[in-house]
Amino acid sequence: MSLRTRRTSSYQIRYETDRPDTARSPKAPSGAFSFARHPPTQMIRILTFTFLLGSLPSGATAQDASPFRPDSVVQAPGGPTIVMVTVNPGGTAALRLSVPLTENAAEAGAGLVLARLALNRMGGPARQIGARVHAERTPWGIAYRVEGAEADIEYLTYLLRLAAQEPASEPHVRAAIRDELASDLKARAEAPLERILSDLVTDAAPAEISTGGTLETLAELRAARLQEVWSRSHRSARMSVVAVTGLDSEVLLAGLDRLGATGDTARSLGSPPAPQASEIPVPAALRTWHGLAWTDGSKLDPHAEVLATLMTGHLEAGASETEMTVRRRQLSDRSMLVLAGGAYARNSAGMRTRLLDLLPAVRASIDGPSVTAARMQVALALARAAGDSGGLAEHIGWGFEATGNPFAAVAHYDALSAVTARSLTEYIDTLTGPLTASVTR
Amino acid sequence: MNRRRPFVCATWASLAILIGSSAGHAQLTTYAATATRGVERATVVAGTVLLPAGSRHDGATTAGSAWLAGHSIASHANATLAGSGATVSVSVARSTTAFTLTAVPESWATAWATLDTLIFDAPIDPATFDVERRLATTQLAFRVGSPVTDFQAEAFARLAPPSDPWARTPVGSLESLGVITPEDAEALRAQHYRRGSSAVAIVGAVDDVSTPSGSRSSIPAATPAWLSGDRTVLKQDVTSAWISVAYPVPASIDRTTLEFLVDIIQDALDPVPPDPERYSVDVRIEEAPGGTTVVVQIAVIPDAADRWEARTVNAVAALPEAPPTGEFFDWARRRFRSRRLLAEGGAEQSSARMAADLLRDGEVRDLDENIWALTEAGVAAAFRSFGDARILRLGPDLGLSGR
Repeated sequence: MSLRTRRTSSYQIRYETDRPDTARSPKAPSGAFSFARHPPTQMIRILTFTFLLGSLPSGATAQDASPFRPDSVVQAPGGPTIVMVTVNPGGTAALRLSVPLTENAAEAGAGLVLARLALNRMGGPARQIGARVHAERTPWGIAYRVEGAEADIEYLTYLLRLAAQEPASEPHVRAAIRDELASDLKARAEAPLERILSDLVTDAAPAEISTGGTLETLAELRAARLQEVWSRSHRSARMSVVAVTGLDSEVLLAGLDRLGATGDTARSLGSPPAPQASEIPVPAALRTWHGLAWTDGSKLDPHAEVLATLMTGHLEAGASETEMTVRRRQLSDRSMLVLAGGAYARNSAGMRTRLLDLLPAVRASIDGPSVTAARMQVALALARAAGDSGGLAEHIGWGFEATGNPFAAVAHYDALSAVTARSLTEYIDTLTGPLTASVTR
Repeated sequence: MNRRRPFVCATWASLAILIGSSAGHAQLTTYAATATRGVERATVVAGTVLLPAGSRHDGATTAGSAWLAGHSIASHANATLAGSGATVSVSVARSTTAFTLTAVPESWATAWATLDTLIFDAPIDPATFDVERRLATTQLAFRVGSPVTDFQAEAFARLAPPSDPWARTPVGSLESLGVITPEDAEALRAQHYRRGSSAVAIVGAVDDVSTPSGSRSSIPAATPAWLSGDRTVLKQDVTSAWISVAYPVPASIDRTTLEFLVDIIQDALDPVPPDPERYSVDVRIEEAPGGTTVVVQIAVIPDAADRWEARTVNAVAALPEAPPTGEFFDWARRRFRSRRLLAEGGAEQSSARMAADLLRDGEVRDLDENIWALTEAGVAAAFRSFGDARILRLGPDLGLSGR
């Protein structure tokens, strides 16, 4: 390995000239060292990166002081964009890697299978050091998250490399995951509320591919197809990482510059066949469920959360023999608010009327104090969810993934503070809907 | 390792000042011991008030008073704070009651003052008390007769001297819940809820300040909780079996070492993937009236009860002879450190632990430092100090060992 040194701006940077390409098996760091106490020299290496946004000036404004505001955004050449959130939350660190992925109809569910395979790869090594690992399919791709002691940062980056690694040909593991996901699909299809949510999403966004897949597409997700989806999506330069840690970016970047595929390894299997519609047995009818859905025009508008909170409050305040709920569903380009309820036949008509009347009733009751109370409730829930390193990485990463803006979480929190009775009324008036769906179970 | 400067700027810094001045220091000085820990980028502030008052302080005929007092106050606080960006949780245990307030920074000062007043100064609201009593009665009625409830009652009874009120279920009984009045709960509150005996820990957008009491809440027992072990088998016609194996440990073992031992035992008994015979394996520290204990509780299929009892006893017995050493020790300590730090990632968990440290030891532990200080020799010595086990089994009669 040869090393060069280059001075870029005020940063002196060393970088590797013969780094390996294509798929690799990451090597686990030794278990005997502690990085915090004995920094391994192999971590300090090999970087060239560009500061997309500089570090914050020391005289930051009040608005800058948001805990959701990243300190810097950097990108290594051909490597991932890295959002640094410098903090030392009790000696822990969290890294969230997001990989953009758009599936075609025949690939539906591939992202979810890749996420489960990654979780399977990470689980054992994570247990070795007591770290937590997560992998989930988001509306925009796949998100992998690792959390652990900051002293184990090198191992955490290794876990992230494992997550982004090319899936091995493990037919038994793959089959078990596909079976598990197919069972989940069947269970959800039998659950009336889930069925209504699914139907409403299909109505609201007919072009959107179901990230959970179908029984047919899951059955066809063989090794070659997964490999194709992986090599197409897990391109280092397209990835982004949110890092919540007290470590300096140079140290962190050394462990994050070998994620996923590099070079031109994408392979095409040609045009996939269109999936067939699935038939899932329907259980006997017991209750009728109705659902109403409204969509807004934004991915991260906090008015949606405040409105959902107010609607839930109205539901809880009115005793009823029917089961009613408010759900929010994130679509790839906007969010959807769903109001659904189930009732036995004798109450079905009344429940439907109550569902239809709820949003107008909420709109009519909106005033300053009720909106402030709902806004504070949302703020508290958000603050608690982002209250540890993993939650903070998740919140900032989710916003970044949704919008491409690393400061989206800051904007979201600021926008939440600005929600008023008037702005909420205006928001309701701009909603599209309601779409309706019914199912009898 | 280089660290960036603390990220505290105008808004959040001013909130920290607010906490320090208006609702914090003036009242913080009145508690027995306090500690605050500043967290960069804290999205919430969490504060725990830990009182040395629990169900063991209930009267003989008013079991459940401490439970209802704590839950009534928390419920009243939540109703008062609704929509303010703050929420209160409560945990009523056998010897302690913990209130934890979690708030967005801008709501913290007012919310803390509200909670403090409701805990220490305001009388218990009778209407809220009635709601909480109905709720506790309903929940308890659902659990009465459950083998899990029976097992837990028997297991706790074996950790305390006979008829010690500590062993009673904190929520009380259906009979006692039926007769307790708001005045009973108020009497307990007035007698035991005192700022001067409480420990307070706050974590979030605050400055690091500590006023430790420097003394323990109780004098450590000179002898272990018990000197000789025993074994009891209770037979019930149920479809699972429960096993409790409890060990007395000397007061000289420091808390972090003890937590590490618990982690090692948990790993030894419950590796991944889990044994299909077991439903759950739980290893924990229990502060019994006679002293500290380590309790292993296991739920298994009945056929496996003998095997799991032997497996537990043998695993713990083997640890003093062959404690983790070398790389095994390093990996075990590394796992423990990660789990322990992650478990305290949230401000609520962190403040609860700090308050418990304050009340128990008079000072707050630096977990990271303490974990690094763990040694093979210290751990081996701690394992050797375990006393004889008290074993309890509850399950169906399969003609198995009921010796």
